[in-house]
Order: sequence, then structure tokens, then C-alpha cells
Amino acid sequence: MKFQQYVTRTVKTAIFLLVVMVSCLVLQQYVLRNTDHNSLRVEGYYQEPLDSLDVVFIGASDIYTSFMPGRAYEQHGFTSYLLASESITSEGVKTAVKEIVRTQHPGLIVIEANAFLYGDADNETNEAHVHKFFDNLPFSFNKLEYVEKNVPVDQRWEYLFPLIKYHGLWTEYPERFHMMASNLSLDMRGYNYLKGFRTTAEIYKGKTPSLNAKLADEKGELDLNPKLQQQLMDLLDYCKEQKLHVLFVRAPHYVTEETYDRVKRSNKMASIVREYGYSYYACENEAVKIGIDDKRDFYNIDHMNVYGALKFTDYLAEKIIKEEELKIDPLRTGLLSDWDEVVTSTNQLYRYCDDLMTKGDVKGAQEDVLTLVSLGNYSGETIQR
Amino acid sequence: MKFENAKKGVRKFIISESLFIIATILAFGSEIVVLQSGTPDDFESLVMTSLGLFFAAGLMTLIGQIIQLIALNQARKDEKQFKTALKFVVINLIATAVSVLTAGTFSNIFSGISAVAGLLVDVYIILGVYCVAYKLDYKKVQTSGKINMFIVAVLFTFVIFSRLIVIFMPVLSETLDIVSYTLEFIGHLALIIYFFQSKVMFAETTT
Amino acid sequence: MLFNLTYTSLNFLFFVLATMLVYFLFPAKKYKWTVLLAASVFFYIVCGYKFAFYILFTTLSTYLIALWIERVADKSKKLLKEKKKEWDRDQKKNYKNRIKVQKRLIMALALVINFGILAFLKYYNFFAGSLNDVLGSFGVAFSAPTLKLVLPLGISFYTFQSMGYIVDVYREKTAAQRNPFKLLLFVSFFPQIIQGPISIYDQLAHQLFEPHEFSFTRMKHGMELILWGFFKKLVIADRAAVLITAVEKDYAQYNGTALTFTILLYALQLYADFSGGIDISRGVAQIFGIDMIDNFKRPYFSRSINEYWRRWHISLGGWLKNYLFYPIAMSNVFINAGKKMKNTRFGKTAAGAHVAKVLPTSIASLIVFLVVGVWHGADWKYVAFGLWNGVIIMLSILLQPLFDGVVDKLHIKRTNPFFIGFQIFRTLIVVLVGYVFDVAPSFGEGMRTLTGFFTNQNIPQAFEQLSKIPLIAHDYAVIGLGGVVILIASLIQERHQDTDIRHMLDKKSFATRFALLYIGVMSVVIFGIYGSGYNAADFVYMQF
Repeated sequence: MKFQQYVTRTVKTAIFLLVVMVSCLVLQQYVLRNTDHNSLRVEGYYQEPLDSLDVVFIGASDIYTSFMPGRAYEQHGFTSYLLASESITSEGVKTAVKEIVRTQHPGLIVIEANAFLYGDADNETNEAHVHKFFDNLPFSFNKLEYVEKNVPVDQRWEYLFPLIKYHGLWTEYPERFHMMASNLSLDMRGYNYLKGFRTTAEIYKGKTPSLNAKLADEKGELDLNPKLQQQLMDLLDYCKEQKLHVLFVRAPHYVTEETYDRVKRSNKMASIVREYGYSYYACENEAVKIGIDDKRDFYNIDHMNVYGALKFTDYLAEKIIKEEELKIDPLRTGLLSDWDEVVTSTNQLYRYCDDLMTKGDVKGAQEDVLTLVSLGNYSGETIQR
Repeated sequence: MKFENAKKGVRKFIISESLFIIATILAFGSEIVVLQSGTPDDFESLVMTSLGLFFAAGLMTLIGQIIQLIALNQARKDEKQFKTALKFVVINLIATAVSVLTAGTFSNIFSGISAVAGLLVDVYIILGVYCVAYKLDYKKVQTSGKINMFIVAVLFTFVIFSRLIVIFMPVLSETLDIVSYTLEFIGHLALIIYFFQSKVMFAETTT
Repeated sequence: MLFNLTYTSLNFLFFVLATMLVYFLFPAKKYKWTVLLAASVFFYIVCGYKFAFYILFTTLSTYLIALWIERVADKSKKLLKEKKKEWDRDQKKNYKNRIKVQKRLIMALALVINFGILAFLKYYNFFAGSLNDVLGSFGVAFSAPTLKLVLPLGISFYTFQSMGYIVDVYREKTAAQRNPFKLLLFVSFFPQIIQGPISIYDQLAHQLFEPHEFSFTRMKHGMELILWGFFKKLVIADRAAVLITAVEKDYAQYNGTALTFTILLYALQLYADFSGGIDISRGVAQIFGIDMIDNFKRPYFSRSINEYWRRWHISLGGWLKNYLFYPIAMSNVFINAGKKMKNTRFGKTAAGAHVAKVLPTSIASLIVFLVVGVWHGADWKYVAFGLWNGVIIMLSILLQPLFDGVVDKLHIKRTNPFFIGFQIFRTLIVVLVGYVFDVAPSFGEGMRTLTGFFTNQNIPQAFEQLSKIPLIAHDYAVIGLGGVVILIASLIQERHQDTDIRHMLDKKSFATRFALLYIGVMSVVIFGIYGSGYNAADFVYMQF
């Protein structure tokens, strides 16, 4: 019977191809993937229900180690997410803004300035930094646009199908197993406990003294890298065109002579941004005002630990409420319990890190199964300052 | 050759298809409700209505699938294609359950498996009836079987296609769902006509 | 390359898919071959547009000269027919000889021009360098200039293939092709342009020009062959190439043990790379309904070096046999030499009679393998490689009665498995010695390696040396497992020589076929060497 043969052959071939495709998808999504905290953070963003976020933060590690969405929700009632990635490029920032426009409609978008403050444009072509963000974006026109504009032809397949680049990671199991489990559990759970926050339990003991005390009076400016400045202008034009409520921020750092130029570039960037009519919170210059203790609140020269993050979160969240006239949408009933869990997890994380730092242990703490299991030993009550 | 089991199976297929048609109409209605732009006060009631319709559609589908399972279990005694269809019904049910109980990409993957399995159930039921018609040398049902297979192929292609489009344009999700339900409705109608023709075939050839 | 169209790239798979769609949906059945031509031209332009001139020149010269030869032949036949009653036997014989010489000269023109181009591009710098070395050793100041020459894509393969066609037209085995575009398709057919197989015109041409309808079974078999080729190339060959390349770069640093291991791995790598590429070529061609000659028949199971060269690069061996070996062995010079020897005192002995009988074939074999060696590359080490094989074959022919005598005296059954095992092992050793010259950077290093096998063995030192190469335990495990898979498949195919392993697979249950193919695909996806971060080795024979 020819027709029967024709149908069964077609079906068997189709099933085979589909099984192979699904296997490759599963491998790409969970197994042979360079899963790290960036993956969990970026993917977690896309699991947020539509129109459930009041604020979305974009930036690099400066922001995802210094702002605690759980704390902000607990103290001020607004929901937020850290759509940030390690050393994100300026192109990454632009794409992130476009993704937010595509997927959420938050009342405010906060952009941490780091991507525009480099002295040169080398970060833009740093493959690792680009991949850390773009590998974790789902398919979209924005992603395709980025790939078409910035990626050499012979590497494009890898950006669209990261399995091509990472299929060799099978040699790194079982070390990678816990991150794979974290990825799977995030997907199964459907929401992110810490909304992208990550930290390291460590107190930085810098040999060079911090210059934070003199930053409040620093008005000096240094020109931005021309390419990065152009990127900034394009971003500002886009925000104007889309009529977005955008705020720029510079998080506190342990500033030394070596990194002082960044402060001046931040001042320059503030001028440019304000010319466009947007706000720029130079919190780095206000470290003293915020109450940041250079001897206690950093885990390295670029990032605050939980002590510093708590102070910064309280400061910034209050400033946003007061100065940006943030409209807080009431949460849908189904999401209230999720956010209560976020608050609890954030407080537990603070106590966990506090405990580690008190003992002198140094450890990273993020949204992975190992950390989340450890949090169960700590109280989720509000942290009192 | 009498094909009594296949005959009884086809009768049950008619019932299950009828339930699937009702489910499709209810799901269609649920999407239409979602697309209604109401005031924020209306939002909650619209969502409840939509959910209610969707739940009813789900229930109809579940009952339909159970009847389909019983029908296939009976019909497979006369034709082995029904046995294959039965396997795919089981896969469909398991995949649907996993998809509902999980979230994110994991859920999407199983939702896709469920959709494919559902279509393959139709393919093998059509093929099973076709094979019986071939053995009974009943040309009308054979031709109808080919037409139905073509409709299923179109549906299949559209489902795959729309799942890809929705990745890039999630705003089209509801519209694509509506088109999908419309095509499904046509598909179910065609199937029901096919089963009625088969019923006539059994009546004419096995008396 | 304009963009990447190597056989193991995703682009190539899409290219094949697009060509398939156009070919099978092409409405004008009579002109379906034009789709293959367009695809082949496109492929060549993308992969090597800078050198398109060479392949076009070869095609045009082949086309015109073949027609010329045929015209001379036709004219002579016509004249002979006219003068049938008029001329006597001697006149006819003289005329035929004149025509033969004329045809031969025209054929020689094609061979000289096209092989000349190949020889110049491939060997000029080698000869110039060697000449400079020789002159330098005599203190002569003159030095021949070396030129920056790049080989056009597939030049060795398409030159041999088109010259084979010319010889076939000369021998009147095949009619000259009147359509230049059809000839271009024969010369440039994209699945075989990079590394063969070298096809005979009669075998391939009609398949190219006949329209083929889509066949599910052919497509399935073609895809299975492509998958097998991908597995061998990406999982095994490219992985092993990491070690081979590293050793080749710093050859002098490695001791005898390390080099022994490298040569063994090279045997696997070379086979997997070359046969993998051929499988991909054949699989693609099969999808279009075209059967190309299988270039490999489990060569490491050979019981003699003669048999090895009948199982390895079969199309090259076949070409050389048809167009070089037979003309030499059956030439008057060699036949007369054999006859002369037979009439000597030595020739009247049993051994002498044998030698006289096989002298033409043995010398012809030596010459053929000298050409094989030179074909592999422009270096003295390849000459050594060719000579090594040629000498072994020559000696095996000459000493055959002696070997047979020893076997008979020892009452060894030729079908005894241990004896067969011994023969296979012995052949493998001979082959591996030849491979030493492939891997070694020079003839001198090759000789050092051979002596090192006996004098420079140190396992712990070898471990330390090889541990610096970026291959980890997982990689060796994959290579090992992959080798076992190839061995099992080869054993099965060797046992069932009358049927293809794919036909055997067809008879298995759907579940078995599904599982095997699924494992095959996922093995390539997971263990394949592709993507950035890996430098997928070009096909070894692509350099030809």
C-alpha cells in the first residue's frame, strides 16, 4: 500500500528529526551550556510575568552586586529585576533596553553607567563578555539585529545556536553539574528567588586607601571614548524616541588613583545625560553620604558586599520613589507570595553572607542550588540597620 | 472480513471528535475574551471568564481523549495503525501533564511534544481507517483519508511555523492561537465527516 | 573562500539541501543536470574563485582536444572505408599507424599541457629548491627563484579525471562529449572536487546527465553515509589531528615511543579523515541518484601491500592501473626486455623464467608508486614513501614463488586465521613504515624515526612529552571508542562483502535503526570538533 508507506515513512522521518531537534534543544538549554550566574539572571528575567515589574535595572556586575530587589520591595513596595551581565557591553545595554520594551513595560528603567566608562572600546569586542549576555537571550529580532551588526559572519551560527560553541563542555562534567541543576530548577520553578542579585561574602582589605571621601567635591570631567560616547547618544536617542522613563546611575566603588579616571568620565557622562533631560545619580560620588564604609562594605575595588548593597539599595530605592515619581502597579494576587519569597530569600542571603564574613570565609553567593540550600539555615526576617 | 472492533472504534471516534470540536470552540471563545480590551475593573472578570472557558475546553479535551483511548484500544484489534495511535495518545497525555506541571523552557518543550503527539494521533487514526477501507476496497473513504491527511499536514506545518513566529513576535501569540483554533476546527470537522463516511462504509460492507 | 562551504560545515548542508530542492523540483527533466552544474560552479566560485581560470582552461582544452581526437579517428575510418578496395594491406597498416601516431600526439598535447600545469604549480618550488641545494653543494652561485604558488582547489583530482577521459576518447572507449557544459559538470561535480574519488567518464557521466527522481531509500542511504562520514571526520580524525599537528610542529622533541604512538594514531586519523570525506561526497552524490566509486574497502585488513593498494584510495589506484601501469607494463620496451631476459642463461632457470615473466609488471609497479609518492606531495619524503611501497610490491612480485614455497614447506594453511592475522599484521607494519614519511617533516627525520623505534623507547618520557599536547583523557577515550566503532563496522562489512551495511540496517526493526542513527547524530553533535574554539582540520587530501 503506497499511501500507507508514504505516510509512515514521512512520519518516522519527521519524528526522528523532531527527536534530534528536541535533544539538541535540551542539550543546548541545560547540559552543554556555559551556565553561570549570568545565565540564571538573564533567563530569570524572561520568566517574569508580563507587566509585573515596576523597575528594571540594566548594567554590569556593578549593579547586580549592589542593588537588592527583595529589599526594595520589602521597604518600598516596588518590584524590580536586575537584567545585568558581567561587564556588559554598550551594545548589550542597548539590546537590553530594546528587550525590556519588547517584554515588559516598567515604569522606570535604570541603567548603570559602567559600559560607557571604559577608557577604550576593547570591552565591546571581548568575546567572553559578549557571550555572557547574548548567549542567554532568547531568539528575538533584537538579538538577530545585534548578531547581524556586530558578529563576524563565520561566528554567527554560534550566537544563534550556542550549542555549536559549547558542545565541548561535556568534558567538564561533573564539575558543572550543580549549575546545570540550578538552571533546570529555575526553569521548573518559573521564577528567580533573588531577581538577579549576586554577591561575594568577603571584606576587602585594600592596601591602597580609598579616595571616596573626596569624590563629593570632584567636578572634573574626562571625555568618554568616542565609540562609547556615540553608543550612549544612540541609546539616549532611542529612549527619547520610545518615550521611556530612564534613569542613569553610577554605583559606589572603592575608588583609588588607578580608577580615578572613571569618576571623571562618570561626571562627563552625567553632563551628556542631563543635556538629554534624563537624571543621572552619581552615587559613586555620594558614597560617604550613603554611609558606605570603605573598610567594611566592599568585597573588592569594584563591588560592594551585602553590607554596602543594603545601604545602597535603601538609598537608591528611596531616591527613586521620591524623585522619579515612580508609579507602583499593584501586584497580581498570584505574585504576592512569590515576592514574599524573594524578600525572605534576600534576608536569608544577607544573614548567610554576614555569617561567612564573620567567620572569615570567602564564598560567592547567587541563585544556584548550593547557595539556596544553605539559605534554609537562616532567618528571613527583615534586616534592621 | 467484518472489522467489528474497528466499526465500534469509529463510532467512539465520532463522539470524541464532537467533544474536541466543542473544546476548540470554547478555547476559541477564551482567546476572544482575552483579546477584549476592557477597563482595569473589567480585567479581573475578563480573566475569570477566559479561564473558565479554557478550563471547560480542557475538560472536554480530556474526556474526548479518554474516549479516544477506549476507541483505539478496541480498534487496534483489527488494524495495527490504531495501536500506534494509542501509543501517541499516551505520549500526548504524559507530555501535556508534564507541561502543565512545570514552567519555562522545560514546559515549552513538553508542550511541543504534546502538540506533535496529538497530531500524530490523528495521522494514525486516519491511516488506520484508510487501511481498513483499502482492505474493504472502499474508494470513497480512501480518497477522504488522503484529503484528511493533507489537512493534518497543513495543520502540522502551521503549528510548527506559528511556534517559531511567536518567539519573535509574542504580541501575535493570541492571533496565532485563534488561527490555530480555526484550522483545528476545520480539521476536526473534516475528521468527523470522514468518520461518518467510514460508518456508512462499515454499514454497507459488513452486513 | 568567500564563505565557509567545507564538507563538514552547516553551510554545506544547507547548500546541499537547497540544491536538492531545486534539482528534484526542476520541471524540465532533460535539463536537470544544469542544476548540478550551477551548484558545482557556485561551489567552486565560493571556495576558490581566484583559480576558476585553471579548471575552465582544463575543461576547455580537454573538450577541444577530445573532439579533435575523435574527428581524426572518424575521418580516418571514413577514409579507410572509402579506400577499402583501393589500398592493400600494407598501405592500410601504414595509414592506421600514422593515424595512431597523430592521435597519440594530440592526446600527448592535452596530457603535457594539463599535467604540465599541475606539475608546475605543485612541484616547481620543490625542484627549484632541490636544484639550489645540489648546486649549492657544488659551490655554484646560481639559484633558481622560488615562486609564491597556490594550488587551485581540487587540481590533482580534476586533472587526473579529465586526462582519464582524454585517454578513453583516444582508446575509443568513449565518445567525445559534444556539450562543453556537460563536460564542465563532469570535471567540476561538487561532491568530488575537493578530494575525489577520481571517476571514470563512462562510469560517472551518464549518471550525471540522466534525470533522477527523488527516492526516499536513496536519500536515506545517502544521509546515513554522510552521517558516517561526519562521525569519522569530526569525532575521530579532527580530534586525533590535534596530536598529529602538534607532533609535526616540534617533531625532533619526541622520543621513539611518542612517535610510535603518533604513527599509530596517524593511521587511524588518516583513514578516518580521508574515508570520512569520501563518505560525505558519496552520500551527497547518492542523494542525487549518482553512485560514485567507493574509495576505501577496509584497507587495514589487507593481507599484502598489493591488496592494500587495491583497498586504499581505490580510484587513484584504478586510474594509475588503467592509464599508467598497463601502458608501461604492456609496452614493447618492457615486453621485449622480458623476452630478452628469458633467453639468457638466468632466464632459462625456474627463478629466471619467473623474473622474466613478471619483470614488466614489477618495474611498472615501481614507477607507478614513484608517481603515487610524488602525487602526495612535493618533498623527498614523499618520494621515499612512494619508493618504499614500490620496492615492497616489486619484491613481493619477484619473490612470490619463494614465499609460496616457504608456506608450502611449513604446511601452513592459507585460510588459517593465525596465518591471516600474521599477514594482516605484517602488511600493517609495512604501511606504518610508509606513514612515518608522511608524518616526519623530512626524509632525514623519517629515517631517524625508524631507527628510534628500536633505540629510543621510553614510556614515561613519552607520557610527559605527549601530556603537553592539548588533548585530555576524554579525547583519547573518544578516539579509542570511535576506533572501536569503526573496527566493528569494518568487521561486519568485511564479513558481508556482498551487501552494504546500510542494507543490513534496513532489515533491522525501526527501534534499532532509530537508536543507532540517533546515537550517531548525537555523537557528532556532542563529540564533534567544530565551531570556534576548535580549529577543525581541513580534509587531509584537500591540499591536493
